[in-house]
Amino acid sequence: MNVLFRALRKTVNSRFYRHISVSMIRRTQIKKVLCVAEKNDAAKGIAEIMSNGRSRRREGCSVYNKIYEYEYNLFGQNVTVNMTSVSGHLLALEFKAPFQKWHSCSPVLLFDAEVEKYCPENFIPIKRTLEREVRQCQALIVWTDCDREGENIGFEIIDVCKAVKPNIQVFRARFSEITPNSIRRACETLTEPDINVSDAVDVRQELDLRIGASFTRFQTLRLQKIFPESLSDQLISYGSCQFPTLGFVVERFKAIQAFIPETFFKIKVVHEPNEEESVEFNWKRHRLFNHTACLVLYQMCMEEPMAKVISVTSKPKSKWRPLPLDTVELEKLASRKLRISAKETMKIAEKLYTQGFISYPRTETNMFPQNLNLTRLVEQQTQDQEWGNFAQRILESGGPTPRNGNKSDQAHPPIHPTKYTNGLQGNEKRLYEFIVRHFLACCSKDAQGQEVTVEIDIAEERFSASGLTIIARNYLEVYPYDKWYNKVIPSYSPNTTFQPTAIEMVEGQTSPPQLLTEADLISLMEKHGIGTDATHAEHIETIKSRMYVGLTADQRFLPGELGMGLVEGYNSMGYEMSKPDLRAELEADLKLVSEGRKNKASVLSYHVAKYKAVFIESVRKAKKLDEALSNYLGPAQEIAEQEQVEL
Amino acid sequence: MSVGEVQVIQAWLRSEWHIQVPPAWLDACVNWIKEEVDRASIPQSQLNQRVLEQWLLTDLRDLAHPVLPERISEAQKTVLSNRCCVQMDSLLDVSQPAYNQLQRIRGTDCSNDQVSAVTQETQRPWEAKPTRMLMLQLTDGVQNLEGMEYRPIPALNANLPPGTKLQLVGPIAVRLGVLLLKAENIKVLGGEVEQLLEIHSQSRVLCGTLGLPEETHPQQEP
Ligand SMILES: [Mg+2]
Repeated sequence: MNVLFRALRKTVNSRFYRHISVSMIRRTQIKKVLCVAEKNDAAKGIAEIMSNGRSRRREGCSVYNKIYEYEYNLFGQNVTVNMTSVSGHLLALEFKAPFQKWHSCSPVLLFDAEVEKYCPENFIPIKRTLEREVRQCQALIVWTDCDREGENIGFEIIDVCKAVKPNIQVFRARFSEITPNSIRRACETLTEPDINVSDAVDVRQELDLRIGASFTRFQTLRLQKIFPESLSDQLISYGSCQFPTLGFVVERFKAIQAFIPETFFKIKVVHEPNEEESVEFNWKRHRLFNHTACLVLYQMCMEEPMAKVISVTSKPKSKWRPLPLDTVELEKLASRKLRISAKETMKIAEKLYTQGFISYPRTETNMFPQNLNLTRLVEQQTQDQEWGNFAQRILESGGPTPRNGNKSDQAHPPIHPTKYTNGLQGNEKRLYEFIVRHFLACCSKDAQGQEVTVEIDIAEERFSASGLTIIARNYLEVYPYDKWYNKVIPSYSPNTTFQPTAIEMVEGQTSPPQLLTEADLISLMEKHGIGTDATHAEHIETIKSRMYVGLTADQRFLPGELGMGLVEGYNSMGYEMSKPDLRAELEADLKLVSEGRKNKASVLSYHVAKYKAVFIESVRKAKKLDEALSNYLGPAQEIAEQEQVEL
Repeated sequence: MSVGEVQVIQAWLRSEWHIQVPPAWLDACVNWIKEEVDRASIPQSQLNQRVLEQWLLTDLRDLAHPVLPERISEAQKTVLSNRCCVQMDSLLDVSQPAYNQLQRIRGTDCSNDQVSAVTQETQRPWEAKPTRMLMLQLTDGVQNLEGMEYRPIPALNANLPPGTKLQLVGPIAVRLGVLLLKAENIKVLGGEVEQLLEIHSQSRVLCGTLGLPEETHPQQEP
């Protein structure tokens, strides 16, 4: 773009963007600017800030996407701004007409069939608004969310606008929160949209379409015929994220099934020096899986039961305050502590963000940027009835001292409150409160305690007990989601002896791992690089809605018969389709595309070829799928050779 | 072969190694060695060494030559005071579940099993890593008994082959027929018994403990 010069400046998040030359722009006579946000709420919030609440609202062609009009000083001059929005992606990717019908072609052809982007019926009014509005504007500013999908949506907007006005000047606003400072800074530091990031989304979309459609058609058509009684009306979808996600659930279930419990034995020592006090000492050997061995040692203890105090050590112990919140932690904590599912959490967080209450909730960053004014953010919370005093004390005792992690996505800060409110209800209120408390806890101090450990010797066997005295609860006062308890034990002096109240040999059993919780599943997806922090919740939702998995009463994932059969079937083919490796490699390549370190076309063709090979092999070994499923769904229906070939 | 020669070997085994063998076995062994080398005379020191090697590879059950005090495996509480040599048929770490050990051997242990969203409370070091306790199945060829790793014995490990010969160095406390072994009570002499390698392999021992048929993979169990 000829209006740009190449002076680089470090942005808030140390990502480098090209900045716009004010003097160059002046010559192009910008009078009217079209701004497009990702959602109507965001457009409204941004307009309200930019116009100081004095924008004029107009209708667009879509009833859900209003137009907000106001004056603003941009590029060093007063311009008229028309702020409107899309509703997420404006365009969709689909096969060209000849390939769209399920029976139109052999599914394998879908790896090479031509695809095109088109505007779905219900988005056409939005598209028309953009086309109409852009004609009167000299510049377009993209205000979509600053993440991969947002960048791609931005290019969809740009394409639509350029089709009717090819010479329109295009800028990208970068922001992490819908607050006056952040919006003003974004206006002052407009950049270019990032085609690499958008390319990565294009690659992902196209692969998801090809892989998803080919496998879904193949397995649905085949299995409906083979198991007409149970599956005749069922869509048996396949997705390259969905299946590894399902795979984790099945893997855990099988680990539980295969588990063999074992009996162990241990020696327990109890001391009650007086009526009030009681302490249990733990055996240093922990436990033994052999009855005789434990009995031998137990007998020795019983023969010389006098306990001798070997050492009494006291050392400070702290419980760490939480790290700044990233998306995955938010999802996990909300699921565990608030019992709000990841999907629901992200929906609410999105809403809180567009209303300006919290910063952008899709972030991998768990360290606060240097220049973020934490003091101001803490100050905002001092007015609250419940945590206001705590916020005040942070300010009075030296200000915020955040604990920091070491992850940064170079784009967004950790999730934090950006505005105070007490006007929320239900889960919105609970999630906002959680984010505020987490933020204040992070800015506070670790809880401090003193731990006393007593080590004793009975017949040359060692036992120990620990007590804890909490000295300062610090962050725990504002963070009820963590628990820490005092544990009082009697006081002992080294080299003294005492008679234990009881020495017992007790037995127990090993237990299998538990079924996965949603939080566990997110941890596994993150560990294996399945999906991104932005999409974990969706993949989990998909395997639920396809009935591949169900939830137990205590909200743990249990594979269903169809889910089990599919994973076993694909596993028995030798291709680890339900294992994370294939998808993880793809995910890593997408990252490289978004960083401009790998080329879009080559990544696309590489992964298309790879999945196509897997597909062909799967079709060849399709009988294995039938076999695995017939364990759950009853005998397989024979199908004719000819049909086999077609499938 | 002279009578003197065999007696010299017998004395050497006893004084150097505390190994006792029946004379008939020693005769046969020396004869066999001499046939093997196909030479009339072989230096005494070499002969001693060859005999020792043969003994290390022999299943002591074939010698049927008891060296442990009678009925020691039934003793409630006693002490083994002298030195003697025994054969270790197998060993098992009883400080951790056999299931985990079997999965590790088979390479089917899955790190995903440990993944949990909950940050674990910091475990005490000794809880996280319990001290190993090996249980040894021992025999002098006639009497079987167990030995437990009462205190850590660095010379032992789970990879010692079945049939390894050990020298027991008294005094060793014995309770409920189990030797309470410390590092100073054991010298590993080496050796193995070929016929035992398979049947007492670690995976067989672990399967036996778990009541699993050896060949079946636990993952495929219904
Ligand atoms: Mg978005």
